[in-house]
Amino acid sequence: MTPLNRSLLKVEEALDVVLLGKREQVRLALACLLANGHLLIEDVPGVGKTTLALGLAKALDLSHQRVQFTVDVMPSDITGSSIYRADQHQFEFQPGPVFSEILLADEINRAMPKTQSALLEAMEEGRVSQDGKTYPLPVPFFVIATQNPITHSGTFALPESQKDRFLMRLNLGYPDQNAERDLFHRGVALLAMDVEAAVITRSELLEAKKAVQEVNTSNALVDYVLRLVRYTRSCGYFTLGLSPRAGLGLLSASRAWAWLEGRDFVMPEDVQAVFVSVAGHRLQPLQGMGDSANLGPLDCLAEVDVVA
Amino acid sequence: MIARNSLESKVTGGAERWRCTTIHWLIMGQVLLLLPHVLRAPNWLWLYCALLMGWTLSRAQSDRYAMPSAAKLGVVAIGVIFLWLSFSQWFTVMFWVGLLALMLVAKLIELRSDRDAYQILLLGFFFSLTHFLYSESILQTVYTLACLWVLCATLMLLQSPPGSLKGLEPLWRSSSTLLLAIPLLIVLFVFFPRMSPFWTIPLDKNVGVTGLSDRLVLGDIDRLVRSDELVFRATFLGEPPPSRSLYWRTLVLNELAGSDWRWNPESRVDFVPAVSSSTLSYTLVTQPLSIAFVPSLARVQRVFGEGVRVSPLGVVKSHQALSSVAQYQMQSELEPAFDESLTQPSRIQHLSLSTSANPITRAYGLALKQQWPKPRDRVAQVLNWFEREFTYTLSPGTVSGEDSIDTFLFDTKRGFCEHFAASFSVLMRAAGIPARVVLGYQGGQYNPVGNYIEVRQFDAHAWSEIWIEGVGWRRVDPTSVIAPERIEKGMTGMIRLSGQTLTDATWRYLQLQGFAGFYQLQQRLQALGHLWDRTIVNYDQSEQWTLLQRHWPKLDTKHLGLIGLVFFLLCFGMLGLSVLLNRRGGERVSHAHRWHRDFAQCASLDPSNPKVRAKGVVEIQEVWSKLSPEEAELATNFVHEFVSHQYQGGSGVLTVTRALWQLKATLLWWRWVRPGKRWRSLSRA
Repeated sequence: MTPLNRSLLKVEEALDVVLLGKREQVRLALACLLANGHLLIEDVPGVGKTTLALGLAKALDLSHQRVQFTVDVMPSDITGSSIYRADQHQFEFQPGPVFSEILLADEINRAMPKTQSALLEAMEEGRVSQDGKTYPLPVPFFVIATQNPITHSGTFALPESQKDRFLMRLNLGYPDQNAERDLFHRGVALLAMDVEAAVITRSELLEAKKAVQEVNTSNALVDYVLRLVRYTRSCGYFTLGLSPRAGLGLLSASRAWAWLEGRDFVMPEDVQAVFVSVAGHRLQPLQGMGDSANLGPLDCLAEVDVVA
Repeated sequence: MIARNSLESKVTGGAERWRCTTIHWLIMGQVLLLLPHVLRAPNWLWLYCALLMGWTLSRAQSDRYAMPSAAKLGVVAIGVIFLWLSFSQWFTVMFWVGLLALMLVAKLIELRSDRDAYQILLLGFFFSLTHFLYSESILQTVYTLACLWVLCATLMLLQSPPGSLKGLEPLWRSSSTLLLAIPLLIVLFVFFPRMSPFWTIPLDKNVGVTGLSDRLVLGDIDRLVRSDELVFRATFLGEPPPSRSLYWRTLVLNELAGSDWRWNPESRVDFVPAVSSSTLSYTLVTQPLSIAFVPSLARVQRVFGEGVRVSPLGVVKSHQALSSVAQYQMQSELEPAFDESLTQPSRIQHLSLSTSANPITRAYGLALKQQWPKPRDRVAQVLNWFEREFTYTLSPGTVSGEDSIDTFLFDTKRGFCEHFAASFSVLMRAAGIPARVVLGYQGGQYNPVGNYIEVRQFDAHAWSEIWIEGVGWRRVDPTSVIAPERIEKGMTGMIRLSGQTLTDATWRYLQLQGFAGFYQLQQRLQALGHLWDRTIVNYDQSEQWTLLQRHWPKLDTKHLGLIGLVFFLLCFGMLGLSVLLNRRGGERVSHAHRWHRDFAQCASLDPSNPKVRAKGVVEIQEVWSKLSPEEAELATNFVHEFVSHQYQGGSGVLTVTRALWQLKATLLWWRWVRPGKRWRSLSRA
């Protein structure tokens, strides 16, 4: 456990103060950011999605902007727009909220598909094209999006291809009994404002990301991941199996998790820890196929041999 | 803890269908195995078996597994009791075969796991041997091999992962395995030591099998004529003699009781080996017979074969009934050029007549004796009378009673060989000429493909032998004067000529011969069967020894034992080596797989369970530590080494293996040897 590890764990503790009893989700969110992936938090309203997103941004000491998506948010509201400057007789690009290190996209599925795709393009390519010019986004660039379950009214479901851009999807879920009791005793919900600011420095974060990339994945482990990914394609539980991009994401998320666990190598347990979050939103269960309808990523984990 | 990997625990999705196909295959194998016995056991047994199979099949579709133990016991008990009642004696072979069949099928109701299926298959392999208790023909062998094929296919299906073999695929798979086994089959057949059996099973062959008997009651041979069963095949050294001179003597009936002729083994007739230049050498391959006599041509001199000798009456006697296919080499004198003498006791024996039975015949004999002083004249007189007044027919009507000879000779005058032979011999005795009846076969069919003569039950024949001073025993066949075509053309020709209708096997046999193509095919098949009997079925200890000695003349019995030992060691060595190589073969079972498996076993988890296989060692250790923390603690070193080898590129194979062995040894000590711990761990389990 290096000092760097410890400081990342401090972030976890800081968030744990506001999000009672969600330590695992917090760690997954951290792992997602360390693995250079974007995060999608999906759950019913009122369980702390926005708190987690804002708290992360605050604790990590990164510049952040928040966009509340509604049906009338236009792409230019996200990426920015060119304004005519009369004094200089030219258009000047006015960067939008996407030009920040952490973008909080609240309730992303309430925006129209047009707006969604503008954001998702920026996420994938790390730059914004406007009027024939390309403006690079800052590094690091994280998107933390929240959304309500798609069955809720007034939502536009994210297409498969766009869901694939998010490394992880987290479900926060209701707090457990003890955590909720503590919350009620406290009387008010703590907000992200109450998170201790700048728990780690920016350079520490970049260093951590570099360290995560150096975590070792052995042949045996890569084979395990390969078996898992291929199993999702052949098992017949889903309409589509995992893509190679998903497999790469699974590996890097596992690396980040292993690093947070204080190891410099990945074990199958790490893969299993991140698998549901990485694969859950990419695997669409087959509809109406009797028993297999209830089968999900967890069943894949229970059916693939750890060693060949 | 975690359910055993059984048929039961596989009942989900495709596994259900797999289980179903296994049951279908098992039942198919059983039906094939039972089929040859269908006519041999009572029908209710097969009905019972079919019911059990049907029940199993219906159960395979649904999930109703349970049959209470009491019900299982009842099913078997009912079967055994009925079997007992219908056979009423337990020492017949069919009773035991029936019992085995019942057990084979009843095991189906106990089918719960793979192990039960293996037991059924094992029993099936054993059961296939019972086929050979009844027939050793080439057809039976091919059929039994087909049964084994299906059994092997079922084994293949059981061994392969569920759903991987569809339709008839297991058959094709197992055929390659069986083909690979053929060289071993040949080697074992040629070299495996043949021991004479330590005990013999009393085969109930007499039941329902036609054949000659050692008594002549008028009307017996008629029964034989209706059977086309093969009796024996004879191969001659050189040209076979003409059909009319082929009198296959089998039984000599020398005692007359009333009107019945019997074989009396205690008769004292001196057998004098003849010295003559014209000997006839031939080989007989006999099919199973109910009598202990081997057919031979007149004046048999020498016989080579197991357990046979030439008896004083000049017939070949075996020490037991010919229960299996056997081969005999014989030499006969065709024209004995010597004068036989008849001792006084045997002269009296061969002249004895019942003093009460057949008064008319005795009176007529006496009259003949007085009228014609020369025995030859008396014989000629009687034959002349026969030729004039008697008719050959296969349906003479019944002639029975104490004075049946009188009735036949002076009243009905219609009959066939046995009537003629029996009454002629009685008449000869009455006329003062020593006489006896000979039962056997006459003629036979020549098969040009196999160059042998084939004799079937419908060739059964009876004739007389009389003793004439200065000449000796002479064959007199009264049938040949009444119906010469019976002798010239054989029985088949006789029936064709006379146009007598026979609605049975013989007639079908003859009708089928009418089709030329079929006849040729039949001859070829029969020749093949003959070859099979001679080379395969008859391959016994002496044949084996002859064969071995021909190739290795200096061979000794001791060497044979040594060779056998070396061969078996070699086989076991190869088996062991293949097992070792399989273990080493990294592709099939990797080190990691084995370590993981063994570790799961240490943690009392079932390594064949997919859920266990999907757990990493660290997780397994966590599960273990919930069950017994102090035991799981022992595994820390192994888990560390395993993880290091697998995911860190650290520890070598040996280190991990050593750690695993250490863990196993410690566990052994911990669980069983450590004082005070034993009962605790037991109570936990």
